[in-house]
Amino acid sequence: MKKHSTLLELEKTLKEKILFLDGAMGTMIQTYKLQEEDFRKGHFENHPSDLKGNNDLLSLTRPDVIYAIHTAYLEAGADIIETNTFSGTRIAQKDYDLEHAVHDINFQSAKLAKKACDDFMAKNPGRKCYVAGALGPTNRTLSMSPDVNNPAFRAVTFDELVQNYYEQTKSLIEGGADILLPETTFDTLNLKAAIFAIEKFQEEVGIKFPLMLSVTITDASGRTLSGQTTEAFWNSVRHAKPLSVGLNCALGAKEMRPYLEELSKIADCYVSCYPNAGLPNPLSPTGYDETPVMTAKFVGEFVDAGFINILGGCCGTTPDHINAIVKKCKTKKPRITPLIKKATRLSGLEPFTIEDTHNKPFYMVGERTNVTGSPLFAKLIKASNFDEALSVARQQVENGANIIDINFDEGMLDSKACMIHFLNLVGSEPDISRVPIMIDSSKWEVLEAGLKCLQGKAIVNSISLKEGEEKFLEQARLIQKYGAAVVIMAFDEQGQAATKDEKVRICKRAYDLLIEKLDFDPCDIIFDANILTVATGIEEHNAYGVNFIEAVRELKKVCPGALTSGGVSNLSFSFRGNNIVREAIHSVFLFHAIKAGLDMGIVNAGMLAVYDEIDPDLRAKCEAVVLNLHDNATEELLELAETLKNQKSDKSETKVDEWRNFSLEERISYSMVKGLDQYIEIDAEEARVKLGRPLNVIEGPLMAGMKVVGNLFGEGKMFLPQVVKSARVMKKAVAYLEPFMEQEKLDAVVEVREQGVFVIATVKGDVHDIGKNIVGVVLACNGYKVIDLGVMVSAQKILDTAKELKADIIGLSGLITPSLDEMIHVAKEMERQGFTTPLLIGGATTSKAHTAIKIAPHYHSPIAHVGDASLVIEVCTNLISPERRDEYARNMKESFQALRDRHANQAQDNVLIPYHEALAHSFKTNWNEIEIAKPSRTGIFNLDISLEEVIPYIDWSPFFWTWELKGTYPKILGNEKYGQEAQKLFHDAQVLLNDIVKKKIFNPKVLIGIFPAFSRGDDVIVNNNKTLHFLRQQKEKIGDDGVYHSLADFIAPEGHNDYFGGFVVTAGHEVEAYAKTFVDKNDDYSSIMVKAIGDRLAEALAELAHKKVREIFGYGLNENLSNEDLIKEKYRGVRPAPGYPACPDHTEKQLLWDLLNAEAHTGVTLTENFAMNPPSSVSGFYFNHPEARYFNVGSLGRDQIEDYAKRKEMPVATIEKWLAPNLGYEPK
Amino acid sequence: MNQNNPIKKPIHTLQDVIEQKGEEWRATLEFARATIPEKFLSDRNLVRLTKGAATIPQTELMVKLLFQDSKERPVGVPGIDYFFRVVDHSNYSLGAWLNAITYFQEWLASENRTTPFQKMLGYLQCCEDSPENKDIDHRFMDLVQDFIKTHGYVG
Repeated sequence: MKKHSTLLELEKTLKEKILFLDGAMGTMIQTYKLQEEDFRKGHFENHPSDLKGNNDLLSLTRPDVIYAIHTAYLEAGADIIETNTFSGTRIAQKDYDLEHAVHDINFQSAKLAKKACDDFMAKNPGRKCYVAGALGPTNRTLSMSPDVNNPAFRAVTFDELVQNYYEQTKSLIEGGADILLPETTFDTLNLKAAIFAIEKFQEEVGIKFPLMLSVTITDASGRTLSGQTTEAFWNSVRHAKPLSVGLNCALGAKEMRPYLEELSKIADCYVSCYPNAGLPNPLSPTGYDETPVMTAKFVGEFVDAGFINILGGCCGTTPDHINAIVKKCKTKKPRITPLIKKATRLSGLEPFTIEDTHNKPFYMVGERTNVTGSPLFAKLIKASNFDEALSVARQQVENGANIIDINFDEGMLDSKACMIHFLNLVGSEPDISRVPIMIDSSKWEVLEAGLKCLQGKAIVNSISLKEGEEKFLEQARLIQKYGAAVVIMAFDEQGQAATKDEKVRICKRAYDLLIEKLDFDPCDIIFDANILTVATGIEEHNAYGVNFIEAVRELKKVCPGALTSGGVSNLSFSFRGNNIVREAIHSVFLFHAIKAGLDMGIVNAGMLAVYDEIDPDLRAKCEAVVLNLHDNATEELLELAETLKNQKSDKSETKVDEWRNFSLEERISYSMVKGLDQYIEIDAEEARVKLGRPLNVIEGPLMAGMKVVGNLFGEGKMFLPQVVKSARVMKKAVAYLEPFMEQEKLDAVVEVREQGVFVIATVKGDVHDIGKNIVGVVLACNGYKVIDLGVMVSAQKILDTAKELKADIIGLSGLITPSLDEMIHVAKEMERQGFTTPLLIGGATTSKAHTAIKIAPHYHSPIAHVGDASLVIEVCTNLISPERRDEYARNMKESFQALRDRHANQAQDNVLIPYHEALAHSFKTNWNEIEIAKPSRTGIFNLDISLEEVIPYIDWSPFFWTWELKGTYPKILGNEKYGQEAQKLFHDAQVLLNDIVKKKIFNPKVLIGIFPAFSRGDDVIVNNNKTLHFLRQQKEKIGDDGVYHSLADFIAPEGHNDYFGGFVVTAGHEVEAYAKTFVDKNDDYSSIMVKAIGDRLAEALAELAHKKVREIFGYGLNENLSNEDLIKEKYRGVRPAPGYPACPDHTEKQLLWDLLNAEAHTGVTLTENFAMNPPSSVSGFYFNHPEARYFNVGSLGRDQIEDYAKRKEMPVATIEKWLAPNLGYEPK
Repeated sequence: MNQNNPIKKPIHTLQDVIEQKGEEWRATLEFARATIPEKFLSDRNLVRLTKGAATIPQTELMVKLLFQDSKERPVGVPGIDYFFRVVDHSNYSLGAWLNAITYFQEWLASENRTTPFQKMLGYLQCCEDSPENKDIDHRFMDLVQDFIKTHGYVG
């Protein structure tokens, strides 16, 4: 393509001197203090929306201002001025509904800048000035989702951006721009789209224009907004062969220096820099830190260091800054473009360079994210389980893959859609997207779709001469334009190459075509000379391994610069199912292929044997096969393969039992720490005989083992599931020893001593006990005698038991909000009955503040709040220690007093608007226009859902939280600190869950009710005979929305035939019963596990039931959401539960029960505090409005509470009790 | 709790703010206008911000944070709109949020650290959602103080 004369001229000038860009346009425009009418003048007087701030329009409406700014910069010494077109794309102008003005904005801006240049040059004949057409980054990003809940979503497509940039480029050039300058790049993929558009334009006119690229490093992380480092960015865009590349915006010159220095070293074109004038500063007239002299000083240092060819200014710089820069740097020497060593330069978020050196390593391309090669990955993709599929990619990178190959070529999949979705997800995972991606498909449309999703420099795998030269070159040209490297398969019109000569001939032909016809960078060519399967029993296949190796050797000679690669797993397909042999074959093959020059291979990065460590016999036999050394090679390897299968299992058995050779104490400790109960009874017996008495075993090695466990837990080196497993071992040992101790008691030998007696219970009205059980186990592990009274225990029963057993500590637990009141009641009773026993408060709704402010004032003996199980031992040890108890209690009292004081002194400045005004600003729907969903069935009905069906809907994250492992599933399985433990826990859960499903141990029930309904104010009248009551936000809003939400807004008023729904689901009473069977066997671990699984199943039932209800309403039939999407609730409609933030009144649950006749249909009952029993149950309401959403009702005014009490026909004081956390006032 | 405030107050201009709050606000508002384009902080939102901001330093702090945010997140919802959404979703007032932000920013400065604005808002939302805040009306700044003390900040 012919170079434009300006390009030739600039290339020459920049060799000789530094050129100067102008400074900030926006900063200068601000100084004019323009008003709305200035942005409309002569063009947009009648435009319906505000235009102030749309600076690009000023080229049309106030050209005098823009012309004056251009001229001021030229007079200050700028050689290049930028057009006022930063937002001159349809996408950016859409914010102002001015898409139609895009051509005019660009054309007139370029024309205006050109006029300013021409006028200036006419007055200053010695100066040569240029216009750079500025192309901003737009306000959309191709590499990131604007929706944190949907990382695969993109607000714009590559093609849309190409279209936008093409239009802008064309208009700028037509208006007279000399240079094209895509700038302030925060997302490299956006820039790649701009480059693609510019190349398209250039191809059409047959001229290459000067192209300047400028990227923005957003902060001290040294990365772009989309996460790339400077070098990774450059690798991604260097295919554009620009006149210059540089940095601008976000940072001041001082902060830019390290990135500029790096760019200066790696760029084989000119380098530019136009920094901000430092950071914002209110005391400066321009709003920025740096004076012209300061900026000039910093950039002057860049020039002295040889970093720079083009200098200018960004935000906060003025003509004075440019003038100072010009004066300082005008006579200095420009940077000399360095010679950059030839190399394959790829990138993800980070650069990846393959240089041709003697000791070049072999690079691994991870193969497991390939549906044709990994059954696991294929299964996950087919199940739309993309989150877990991502963890496969992550594992590849963690296992050392330098590049990951991604392939969705499978008949049942929409390969293109999968590729786009998965690559967008990968883009949101920095630990995966840091490496380059190899897009793998036999379909061109899939490859191209993938290229449009990647900001890094990727590899296309693959194209070939199969369909002839024309097609081959067309695809290669496009790959070049997208800025990718390419794998060329040894395949031509005659078919796949099998011999060495065929492989070399086809690859060389492709190489010559690419170099000669397209000027393709040879370093971007990777040959895959076909690794075909050996040892198939067919004689001609025997030479496939050696043919490939020899072809590689030859290709490295005849195709300089090009790399070689291959799919290694193909080689050993004959040995499927025998990983030892497969790994050995791969290692032997790679050993020889790498020596021949193989640069990279598609391999399972986690499954490669070390060549030297392979058994010599196996290695020799593999070598014979790979190198085709003799006719019997295949037979011999097959024979050996059979024996190797068995050897592996023998070895693993030996390893398991090694610890049995430890000393007795060490074995017991090992069992405790590892949670192994297989040998504990044998060891306990051995210890009893050795130590003489059972108590000595408990107080000796068993307690010592538990102490190790306790210490490791306290130090954060063991995690709760491990502790509970250890407790199971302890209990099993104690259970074994108990008969001996009973006998001793009968013989009156000695009384067993315990650390202390701890009475624990879930309070009356509440049935949740997982947290309480965990605390009990942890205490028991530490030698406490734990008296667990169970759930729904009355105050009197707790206190009677404590009195009877002389409890050292009493513990109260609860999960639902009303339990807090019951705890206050217990504290009051303890005070009244003269207790002095320390009281511990715990459970999900409790807090230190609530304990201090609401409970502690009622009980004057020690009281403490325990946030999680790991803290309970420290608290209890202090509370029962005669030496430390008083001081600890005093400190506790003081900290509670401080909390009370702080609370008493606070002055909340929340403004609540009157309820009637909140009602007036409700969420509005045009009920005549909106399509109200009609259900295909109404009334009360059960859904028959099996356990198998519900499993995919389980959200596993809360399961790990139950065990105090914080994080989200599946990421938690790879957690650096406790990933391994999480994996074990998850495995145990799967085993138990499979058993529950297989044996149908649980009997889940799903009850649905769908009824005609209408809203009246904040009430919803259901079935014309039941009224449900909702509450409305009252806290004053400040944003543009100004809506005060109530769930009632999502139901149409009378006369519109709307519907309301409710549900109750339960995993069944069997959950508790089954858990008890484990308690009876001293297996708390499995008992807690059963309950945690029961809870997950109940939640999953609710999710699946909601899906089915959406289908009943019709709008859910075409949802096409993955399970992760369902868990993230990315569907229409909500299912809020009474007692939760959008409808915080628990008493409404009773109305739901009455409406559905829930107890009769499901067996789920409500306690006096409206907790559901069995606990593994979920209930709620259905709202189908397309814009229905969850929200927090928040603080409520007295006016609304009074109105609500009236609507519910309940006393205000009763309502105030149930809604205490929401009261925005002090009740009378 | 004042339940008698009118719901929609007339939107003032920047000049109105100066007239109501004093001439010393002029420089601050001009700084804001010179620093952040209208796209990222419109006059209307600047006025709203000044209503909630107790002090000039708080307003200037917000301008700096919003400037940084406009550079770090040039796309998507502008920082100020996101901030107002967060405040509207919260049970705390704009004033309480500004106090909390000031406190958090001062703490970061004392640790010689910085953080992206929206990440800071996320952290402060976590403070509001902390278990400590379920049943008792806490002062927002106290919650932030406790949360930092208990959990620190990684960001």
